[in-house]
Amino acid sequence: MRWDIRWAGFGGQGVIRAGEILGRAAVKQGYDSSMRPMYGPEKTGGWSRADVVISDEPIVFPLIVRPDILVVMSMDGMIRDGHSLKEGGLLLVDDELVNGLVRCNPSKIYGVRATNIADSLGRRIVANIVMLGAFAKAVGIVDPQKLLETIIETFPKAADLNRKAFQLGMENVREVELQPIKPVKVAGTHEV
Amino acid sequence: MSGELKLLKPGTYFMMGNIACVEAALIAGCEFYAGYPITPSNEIAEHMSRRMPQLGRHFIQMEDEIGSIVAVCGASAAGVKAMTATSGPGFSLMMETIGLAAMLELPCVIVDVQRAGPSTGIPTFVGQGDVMQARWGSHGDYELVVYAPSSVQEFFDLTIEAFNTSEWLRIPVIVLSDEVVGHMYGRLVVPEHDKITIINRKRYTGPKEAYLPYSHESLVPAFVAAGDGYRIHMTGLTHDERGYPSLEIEDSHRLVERLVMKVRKNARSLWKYETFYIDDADVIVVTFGITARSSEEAVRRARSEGLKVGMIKLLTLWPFPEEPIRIASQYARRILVAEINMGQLIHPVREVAECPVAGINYPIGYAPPPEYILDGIRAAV
Repeated sequence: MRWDIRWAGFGGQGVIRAGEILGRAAVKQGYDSSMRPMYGPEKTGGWSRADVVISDEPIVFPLIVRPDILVVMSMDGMIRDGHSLKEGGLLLVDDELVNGLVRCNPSKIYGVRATNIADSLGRRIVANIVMLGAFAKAVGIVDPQKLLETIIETFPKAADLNRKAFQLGMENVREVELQPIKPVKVAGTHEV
Repeated sequence: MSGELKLLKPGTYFMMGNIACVEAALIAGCEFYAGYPITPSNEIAEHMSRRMPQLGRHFIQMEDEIGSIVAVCGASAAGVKAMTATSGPGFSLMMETIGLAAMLELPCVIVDVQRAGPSTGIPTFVGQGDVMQARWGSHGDYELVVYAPSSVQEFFDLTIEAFNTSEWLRIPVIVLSDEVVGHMYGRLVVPEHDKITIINRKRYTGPKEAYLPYSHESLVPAFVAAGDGYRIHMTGLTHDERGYPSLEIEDSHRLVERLVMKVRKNARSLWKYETFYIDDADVIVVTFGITARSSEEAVRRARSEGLKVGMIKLLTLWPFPEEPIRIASQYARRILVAEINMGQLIHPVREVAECPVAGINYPIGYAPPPEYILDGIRAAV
């Protein structure tokens, strides 16, 4: 079994870090994994994406063409990467920042107000960890305990904050409905 | 705590290609890094700047890539293993001095994390346009070795191999990675350190009066470091066995022949490649780097469609692995060369292949999806 998971957002949201943590947790659990970060010339605020492949067999092609699972943390990410989701794939969004579907037709949509929750903890920077918590609950694949362990190893000085963020992500994720909206062309939109 | 203890421990990791390259270099014994930051090789310099001081070794950020490679040559002349890393425009700037390293027979490792070009291109996107430059980029007649990894594990393994080869033959060795392999995270298994082969350059220990720094007695002269107390002279001018400039045609012939032959005569042991499903293949895909990952997936799918397709993944690009390609071409009907450029590796393949050769070229700055390679295969069978 192979899962193709794409995280999309903008630089500074921790999209690539989330992808790295997910991949590392998968490897700890005995899976093979690869994570391919992509970003534009500008970092903070620019285009950012992490493509995570998790597989129970050695991965031959480490990149993603049409993800099975799309995690979107910003409207920008939806506009850029919404179209890539496999027909009937699974979508997880920060439903405060992503308010519609652009050229994508998921079978199930999960939402969590990750940025809002992170703000309530006083650190917007942990929005990606809230998202990982939501992912663990809504999608699975990697054992939540392994995922949390990996997060704490990655940020040993902020263990409590991240544990809370992860927990709140798990607790607050729920199925949501999103309506298709008219795509807006943004500069640097890529059909990859 | 001794330096040995601070090297990356044996075990299984999930690591970025560029970081794996650094850790491999440290295990191989790299003591000096000079570089100038450039995407997508930045993580190598960044991680080196952190790791080198931890091990009591040396990191210098230079003013540019020319300074970087010259500093690497200097460190190597002083007897330590040295490397630099760069990409696209920086690689172009290094070309003259890569020739100097070949001429002075200074072992060093240059990592080129290829990006989309030409010129500034797209720094964060992948390319494989430096295949010919890596081999022929510096002027004059010389040979060097170029390795091309296609995974994080291979990036680690081939970086160690690059140091070993450079020390063995006293040549610059290029690790021709690419943006995807450099930036990608993947599974990395680090073996027990005592199971990793480490080669150090042959040192001269005889009497001082008899020492000839560029002796033609063997293909690879024994080394002494600048400052060891021996009489040495290094110049990019054509030199005699003492290292002194010479206008004698005979000196020039012997020197250039040795610079070339030390690689050519050892080509067989330098060729690294892997074959997939080639035994009964009508069509064989020859490829390297990240394109090999797309191609392997495409070949698997083609096989499941009943197409007799195989693949040769080249880990050594130069010296070009002529023999395996020639033999494969005697059994196959057609060879396809897959690469992210408009056709570079296809040229040495054509030179040796005895069957028709065509290219699958993907110039856009992304790694080709397997479907793209598969379309090329379907059209060829």
